[in-house]
Amino acid sequence: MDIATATVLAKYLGAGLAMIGTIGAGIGIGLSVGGAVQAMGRNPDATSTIQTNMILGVAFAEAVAIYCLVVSLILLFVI
Amino acid sequence: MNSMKKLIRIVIVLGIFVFLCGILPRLVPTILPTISIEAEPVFCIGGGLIDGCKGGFAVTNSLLATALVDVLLIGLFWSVTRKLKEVPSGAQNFLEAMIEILFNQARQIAGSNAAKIFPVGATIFLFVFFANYMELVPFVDSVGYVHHAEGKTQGYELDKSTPEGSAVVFLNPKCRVITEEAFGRLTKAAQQSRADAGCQAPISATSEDKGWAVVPTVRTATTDINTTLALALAAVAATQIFGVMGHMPHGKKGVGAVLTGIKRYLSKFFNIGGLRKEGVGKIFGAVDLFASLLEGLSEFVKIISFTFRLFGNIFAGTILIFVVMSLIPYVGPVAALLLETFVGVIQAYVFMMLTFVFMNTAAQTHGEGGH
Repeated sequence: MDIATATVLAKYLGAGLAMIGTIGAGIGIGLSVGGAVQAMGRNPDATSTIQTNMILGVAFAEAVAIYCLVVSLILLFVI
Repeated sequence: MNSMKKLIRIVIVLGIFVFLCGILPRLVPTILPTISIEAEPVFCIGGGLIDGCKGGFAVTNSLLATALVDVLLIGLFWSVTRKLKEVPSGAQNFLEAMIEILFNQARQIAGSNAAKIFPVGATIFLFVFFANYMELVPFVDSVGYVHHAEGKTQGYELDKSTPEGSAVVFLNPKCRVITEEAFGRLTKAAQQSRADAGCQAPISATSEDKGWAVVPTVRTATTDINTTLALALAAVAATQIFGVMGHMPHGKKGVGAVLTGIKRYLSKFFNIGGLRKEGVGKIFGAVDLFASLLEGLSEFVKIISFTFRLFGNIFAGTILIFVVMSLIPYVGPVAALLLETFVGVIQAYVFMMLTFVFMNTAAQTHGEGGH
């Protein structure tokens, strides 16, 4: 295997591996939304407050997944 | 009889579906646009575009989009606020409802401070909202100039049907320019289909002629990392200013009050008060100092997280639309566009909410913290 083929291979492999990081964000978002929905079920009056905080939490967790995505996009299209 | 009619109806719907998804894309093949992470210059002020706009100011396609959004927003609000009515209707009604929703969000977070932080967050929301929705507008990201592909980009060959010296050219979607080495990796069937389509021979790795690519004249503003970085810097800078304002002594104005505010605000990030204590208190003071330094670091992390959250979401969305449009061009994009409608508004909302929250926390003094 020559260098050029190895580079291409490593590029795609790296892009795929980078996306493994999104597993954590997925679990985090699932947990926070699950908790928020339970809380809304118990106390429907507090829905608006819970929803706001939930979206903020989801945004923070999602940011981590987006970092992975950006890394893999850079591997695919820039390097 | 009835079931027969139903069957015919199902067959007709399936037929339309197969035609749109399977046959039409074969007859009228679509192109996967060349994906570039940086914005491309469209024209150059005070320099030549050919030599990379040296010494001039390159106007990129995302800058044009930003200007378009600005014109749209300013025009909309200017035209509506010229003739305000007591009982709103039409556009005024819509904008008032929108502003009211945003203001309620600010009030929920900041309470009495809402009126002070509202302009920053609302401006960001409106700009990001309109900029994100630009990717749903037809011709954005798709109409532009055809030029020689450069750098890593692999362009397409010109179609044979293009007349000599014509202003409008056709690219051949079946003939993407590839290197010899990449050609060798293709399957036999793929190599054959390239030959059938009448493509030119693969180029060598060092070749300069990489075919033709479309540079869109207008590209979604938030798919350029510079736009989102600028927004993030503005939001975080506003947070710092508001933090200093919140720490100023009550009811006082002038340079002295501002300096006191800056001093008090900075003590949040360089908390050396604990080090002056005696004995064990000194250790806790050192821990406090370390924690406060981390707090300072988190201000820079905010910039990064703001930047990449918006950029990553919208850029990934654009790529999704590109890829779906090239694979299932006539039905598929509906799903992708629907998803992007959702993502666009959510990201604008999240950007605004985080700005509100950060500004509100920055303004909280030690005494009243955590209310």
